[in-house]
Amino acid sequence: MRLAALAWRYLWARPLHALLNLLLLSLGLASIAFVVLVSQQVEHAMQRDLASIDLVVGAKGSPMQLILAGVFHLDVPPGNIPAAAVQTLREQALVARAVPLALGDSLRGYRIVGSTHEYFELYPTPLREGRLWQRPLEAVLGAQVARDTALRVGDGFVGVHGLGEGGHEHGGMPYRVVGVLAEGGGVVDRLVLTSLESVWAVHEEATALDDDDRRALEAEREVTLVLVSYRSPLAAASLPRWVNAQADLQAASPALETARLLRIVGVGTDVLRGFGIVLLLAAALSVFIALYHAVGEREGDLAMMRMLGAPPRRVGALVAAEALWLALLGTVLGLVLAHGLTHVLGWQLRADRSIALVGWWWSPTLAAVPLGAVALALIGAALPAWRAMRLDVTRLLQDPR
Amino acid sequence: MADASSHTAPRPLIELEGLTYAWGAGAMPLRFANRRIDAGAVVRLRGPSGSGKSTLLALLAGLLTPSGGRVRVGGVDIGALGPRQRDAWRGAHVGFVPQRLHLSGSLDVQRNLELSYISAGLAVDQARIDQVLARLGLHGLARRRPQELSVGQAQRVAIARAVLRSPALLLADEPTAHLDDGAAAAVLALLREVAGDSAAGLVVATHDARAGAALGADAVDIVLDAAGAQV
Repeated sequence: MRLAALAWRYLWARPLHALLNLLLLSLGLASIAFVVLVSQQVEHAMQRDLASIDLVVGAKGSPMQLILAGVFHLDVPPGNIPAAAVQTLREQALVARAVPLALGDSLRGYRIVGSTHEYFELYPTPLREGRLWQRPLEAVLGAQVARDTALRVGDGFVGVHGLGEGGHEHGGMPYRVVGVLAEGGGVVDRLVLTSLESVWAVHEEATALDDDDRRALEAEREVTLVLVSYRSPLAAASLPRWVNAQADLQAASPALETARLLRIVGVGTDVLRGFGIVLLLAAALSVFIALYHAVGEREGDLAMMRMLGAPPRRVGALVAAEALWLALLGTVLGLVLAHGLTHVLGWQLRADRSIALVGWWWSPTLAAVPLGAVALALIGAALPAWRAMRLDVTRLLQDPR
Repeated sequence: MADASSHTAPRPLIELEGLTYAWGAGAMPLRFANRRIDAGAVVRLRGPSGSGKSTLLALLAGLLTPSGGRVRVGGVDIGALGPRQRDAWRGAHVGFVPQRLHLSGSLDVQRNLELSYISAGLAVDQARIDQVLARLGLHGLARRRPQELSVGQAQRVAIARAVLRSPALLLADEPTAHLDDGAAAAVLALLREVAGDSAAGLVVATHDARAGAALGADAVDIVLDAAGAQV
């Protein structure tokens, strides 16, 4: 039995204290680790999904809503804009690429996005099977959509009006799956991609009363928004202003809106992080109190160890080792808890067709968890260990009581 | 331990030379008479409470540093050793049976004995533990905790712990306190036996008159008066 094993036995000699300390430490560490896991994954996902999109142009309304709807596909768009605006934007000298998106329908909660093949220049994603659409009503499924709906190349499906479940089905205009994309972990995984013409055709079929009406609708075709990439960084100074000057258009900067969103979300993560720090401070105090009392209760044992040849530093190390066991167990439990909670949250978000979070994610920042646990344990153990090192061995061994 | 320096005289185990100890600055020091105790001897250290019996034991164990004079054990001047050397020396050469036994209630008998090795930073010698457990009639009790043992069994575990590393000097502080006549005689006889097993010197601090016969007629008496001086 080495010193560590002895410390382990002493730790569990007072199981209630050990469990209470472990609980506090684990919860504190789990809170901190959970914040790290979620915030970093969300930030990473947002940065990845922003791709090379410099500007989102859509209907007048909330710019953040425009970004959430057009880039991350998490919100409903504020409205539509004339399809002619796409061409107008493409003609601007500062615009390198303008990718239109037409939203409005969904498949079992997954959005059907009408666009052009240029969308894959923003999100290069290889096909797992099949090909890209060539004709209207041909669709390509993101990997998560294909997995959850069990649709394969050659299968047909009908879209539902609206971006949630429960809308009426466009039964007269079924889509046919022509390709399935490989999993990339980004927003494309949870989209059904098709041509703009498909989305227009489905809605014109659903709303046109007769051929005249259909022709009128064709003349007034719209898109939901346009994802713009700048030809030069100089565009950031003038293009948004030009767009906002147009009667029907609004420009939203993904970088600015995402930073704003992360600041808002950051308040919540700060609160959770603060809660974790309070728990950790409580844990350090609890470890200190428990060890201080333990040294008091065990001073006879410790004095006997000194009598048996242990130098003061070994007796102090025994007390510190007890705290380090707590740190080790707290780290393991805290990380398991944090990863488990993140996994559950990821599962919930996935069910909501939202950002992908995974439980088994690692970040170098998480190395702070064991380091923090060890630091707290040693801080909590410092005074008790010092007390153990300075025991009056002679008095204790001679005490007849 | 130092080698014997003479072929004719028995090797001295304990040498006290002008030894004094003061409990704090300004306190009246305890003065111990010069003595030389041969290796393997049995010493009965007697005197009233406060006479310095336990202090002398602590000085012999290297737990206290003399205020003056010298205490040598096996030729080693304990006061000249540094703190680390003294700890290592004590672990290797001194066994101690305290009055309260100080067996850890958090550990079973086996683990309590392992403390002898862990404290000194040594690997556990299980064969030696088994040997001592058998020698002291404790076989089968290794997994019991001290609170599950009788007083006599606990006393034997404390003795086992003290002799586990075959010390040259075995110290016992009031080992018969609170024991009836039979038990007191048995403990003292056992201490003498186990000390004899490894030819260790035995020093028993006691004010128990019953200790006389049980430690044997050849036991050396050191009697201290209230100021620590030998009478």
